[in-house]
Amino acid sequence: MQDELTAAIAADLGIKELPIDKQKELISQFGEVALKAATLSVIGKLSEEKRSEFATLSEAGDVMALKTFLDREVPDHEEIAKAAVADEIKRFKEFKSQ
Amino acid sequence: MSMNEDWTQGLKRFTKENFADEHNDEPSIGGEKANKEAEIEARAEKIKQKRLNNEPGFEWERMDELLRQENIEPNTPEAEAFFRDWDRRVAEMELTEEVEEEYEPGEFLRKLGFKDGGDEAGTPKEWREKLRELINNVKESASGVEDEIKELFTRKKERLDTRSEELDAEAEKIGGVTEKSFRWIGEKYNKLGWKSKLGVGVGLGLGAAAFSTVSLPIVFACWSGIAAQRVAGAASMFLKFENSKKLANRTENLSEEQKKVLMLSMAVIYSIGMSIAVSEAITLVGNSAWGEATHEWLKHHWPFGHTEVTPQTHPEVSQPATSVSAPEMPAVFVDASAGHGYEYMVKQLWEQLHDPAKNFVLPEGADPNSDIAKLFAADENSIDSVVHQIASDPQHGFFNADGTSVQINPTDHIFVAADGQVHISHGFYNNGPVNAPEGAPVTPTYSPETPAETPVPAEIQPPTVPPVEAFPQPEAPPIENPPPLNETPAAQVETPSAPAEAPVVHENIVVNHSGLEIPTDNPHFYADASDKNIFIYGGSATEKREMIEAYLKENPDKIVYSSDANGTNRIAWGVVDGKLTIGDPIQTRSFFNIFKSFMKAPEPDEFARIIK
Repeated sequence: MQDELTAAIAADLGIKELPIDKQKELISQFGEVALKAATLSVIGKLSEEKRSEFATLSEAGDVMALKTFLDREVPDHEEIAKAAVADEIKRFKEFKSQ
Repeated sequence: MSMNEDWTQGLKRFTKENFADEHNDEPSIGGEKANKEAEIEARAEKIKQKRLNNEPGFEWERMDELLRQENIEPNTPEAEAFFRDWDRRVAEMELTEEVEEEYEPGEFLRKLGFKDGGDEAGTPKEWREKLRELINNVKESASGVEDEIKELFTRKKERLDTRSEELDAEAEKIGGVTEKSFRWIGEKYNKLGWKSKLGVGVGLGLGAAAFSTVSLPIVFACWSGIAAQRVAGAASMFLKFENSKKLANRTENLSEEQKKVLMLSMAVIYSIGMSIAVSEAITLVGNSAWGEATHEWLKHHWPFGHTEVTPQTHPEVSQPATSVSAPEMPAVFVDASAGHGYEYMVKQLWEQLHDPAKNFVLPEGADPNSDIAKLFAADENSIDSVVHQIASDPQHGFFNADGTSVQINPTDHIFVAADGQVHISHGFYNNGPVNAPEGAPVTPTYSPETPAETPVPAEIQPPTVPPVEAFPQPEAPPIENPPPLNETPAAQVETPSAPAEAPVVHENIVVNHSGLEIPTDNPHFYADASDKNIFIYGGSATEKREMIEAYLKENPDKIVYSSDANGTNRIAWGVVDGKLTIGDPIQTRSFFNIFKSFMKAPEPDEFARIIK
């Protein structure tokens, strides 16, 4: 399963031609970038007070609490995060062609 | 030169003298030579037959012309000797040409990418030189590819470093808690293992359309290992699918990529441990555009609304629930087989769980009320009654609302999902469960005449089973002693049965496995996944009765299922001769009606949508 997911993500990022260990390294690194971009895009919609609450909930890894919070404070958080990740994928792929 | 002359000149090449010059015998020894000789003899005989039969290319006229050019009279012993020799030479020529055609050296080199293969065979020395050159070229080429890969990787990595710094700078501009959060995210992320990072990637929608859900809560669940555990836990199920001949038959018209995505999706779905939604999701994934369907399903169900969250009652919906990591369940799996029912299949699960070779143990943290806990606790004496209890539990969906069995199709199988419950999947591309045909056999595995004590964990109370009575048939429900419409059927207030396995319970609201919000303080009508059975749930007995009465006045041909006065068993409401009537507690059908039990009151997980 991990190999399959790795292959699927590598294909998504356009790095299938790289050796598997290199793919994993880039996927790991891209994950951090995508996570930061998605988080930043959502945090930008929150007030400072709510950002603090978001930080507490995300640090706790409490899925339901965080979902409830985001559903209430940023109803379209999924779309916002998705757009941010899509933008990072696009940047990453475009860089390949340079 | 005419065509005929050209042909004749060609044939002349194979006269005794010049043929010997062109084709010197190559050294051959022993059996190889004998084989070659036999091959030539056989081919020469075929040529002779062609010649005698006046076949195209060997017409008599041409043969006579050949003889005339050699100054030999046709039909003479000399002509016969000439043709004996000629047949053999033509045979050798044909065989030689076939070999050269197959291993033409220039073409061979060209196919290997050699730039100047040449059209003629060279000397052994020339061949060695060409091959050496070829090998050197391949080495240089491989070295070039390696350099390209290194360069690509380095550039990508540098690009990501730069982008990460850019994002940090953006966070710094915002300052305050955002900046701190960012530092924390970076530090935490880098400490994660590969599986968790993969979970983050899946949560962010990376990796094909099937996982296009982007959810920060899912991502941050990786901090606690939940999402990563789900991803890793799906591996065994994925292998099951990948090796399934039945599934291979079902997916033979799909592309390899589609098959892979389907199997990945199904594996993740399985690992999540949904109950009612499982078969719907699989059907959805199987019938719809891959990405869209799975995305929608995952969006609504993963990882929310299942066993990751302990059922709790909260005074306010907004108050966060406490998430609990679901234990990893043993990968047990039973395919449907001819002549066997649910109870047989559940028993097979029990056998797999107790297989000494597999060393399965009850996962730490497993719900003691779960099916897997019951199956682990069961022994040879008690397993029959345990599987009967499991099979007759309406939450499993083995029975329809009216007590009839749900049909088991050849492609079905049962398994223990992450919630510890036994689940059945109904045909990957079918339209969900199909009612069993009237009179379909049911495997008798439990006899009430020799009841065995159910070995359940200490915390579990054995279910209350009322005495066996005649039960109403769904086609013609025998509703006896219907209470007058103006009379409340039971004095006590009906308490809606709390869903034992419901994922989330807020005050006055139950969220079932399908994500449906079900109020408990006032009655609503619901339909199940088949959209054929109607239930009423919530509120007091009086409120429900009023609702049913109003509904059946408008829909006198309908049957509404509800709980009985004790809130324990299932009863049916209908209109008979214009009067609202109540049936006796419904029983499950079984073999010759001997082995049967009462169906539990409708439970939230049976509902697919609110009707009213």
